[in-house]
Amino acid sequence: MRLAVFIFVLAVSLTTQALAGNRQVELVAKDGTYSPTEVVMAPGEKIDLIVKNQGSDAEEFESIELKREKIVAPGKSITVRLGPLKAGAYPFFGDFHPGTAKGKVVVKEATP
Amino acid sequence: MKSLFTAFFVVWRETFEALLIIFMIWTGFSRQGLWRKARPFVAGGVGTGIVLSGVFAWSIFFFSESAEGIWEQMLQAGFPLLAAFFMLHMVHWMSAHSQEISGEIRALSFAKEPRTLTWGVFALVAYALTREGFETVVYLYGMSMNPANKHLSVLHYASILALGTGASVLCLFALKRGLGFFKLKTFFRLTNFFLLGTAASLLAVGVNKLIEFEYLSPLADPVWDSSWLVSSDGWLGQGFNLLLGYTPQPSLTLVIFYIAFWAIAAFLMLKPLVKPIAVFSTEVR
Repeated sequence: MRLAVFIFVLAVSLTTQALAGNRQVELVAKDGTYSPTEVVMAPGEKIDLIVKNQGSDAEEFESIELKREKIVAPGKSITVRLGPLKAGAYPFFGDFHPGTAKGKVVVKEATP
Repeated sequence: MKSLFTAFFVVWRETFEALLIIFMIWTGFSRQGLWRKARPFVAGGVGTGIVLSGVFAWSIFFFSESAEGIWEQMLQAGFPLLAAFFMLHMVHWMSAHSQEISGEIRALSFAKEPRTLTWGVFALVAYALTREGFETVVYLYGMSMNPANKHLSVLHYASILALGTGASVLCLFALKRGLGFFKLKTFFRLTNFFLLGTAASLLAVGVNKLIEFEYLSPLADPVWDSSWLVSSDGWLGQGFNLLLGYTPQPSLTLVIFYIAFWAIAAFLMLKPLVKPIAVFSTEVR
């Protein structure tokens, strides 16, 4: 019984931790293209990249540099958490349209 | 026509990745004369993988949540980590049992392989099939929902599946022929290395997921950038990514896990697992 309570509390605390509010950035995938093609974030920042698939085909958001890979069904959206990252450029692509679906995450200090 | 070709390419790539793992398991087990024992577990893994592919594909088409709950996170990170563990376990067991053992003794000493080995094979194959099968199912189902593909019938999709799978089987035969030019010992060393590389890439998948879900800190991300040397969009970088889990910009946490993995693997490969069998075989000789 005590164990069950412990697991419940742990699960709840982990779930609420998962809901901690990062800045949300939208990325639209549509029929083998990404828009915008550049996502900007600050060094050390954490963002929730909301990938919305508005096309009629499935897409897989993938980046070997960002070490992320996630499928989005047509008409659906997924959340990919990014950061904290050092300054630099991190290309991403759509694994189901590797020739055309391309973009990059640029990590740099905001210019005033 | 273009969409049919792309679909063929996707099916070919995904099935090849899954079959490559089965191929390597097959080479390892047939070398030990154990393939017949492993076969039902491989078959079970394939069946489970196909069913899970369907279930997961169904869940992403018919549920609208964009962020994962804790259980999905556990599954996404835990499954590849478990697969990596079983892969290491399998290679360790195989390499330990191939040393200093010959002839009839082999059949005798392998009568009792551990349960973790065969169930490990089951889990490994199930994972590989689920990962690649899931992508294939989502791709093809998405394609069939696209109004632009209304003219395509079930027969078209069945042919794409058959042709794509057929092409990857042919590629495996070509690979086997190509590797056949090596001496047998070199061949098994190579497949063992590839199996360990696959385990390392599975570990990388799991660790990256744990970092994404914030159960692990990346410490420093990236700790270096080696894209000037091997970039991720070249064929070398992509091959290394598939076989070793290579990324030109790893996080420090990933590097630590990676080094630890290869250190453990090297230690296990160099240290014989079961001394008594070696003694037994020398006595007979």
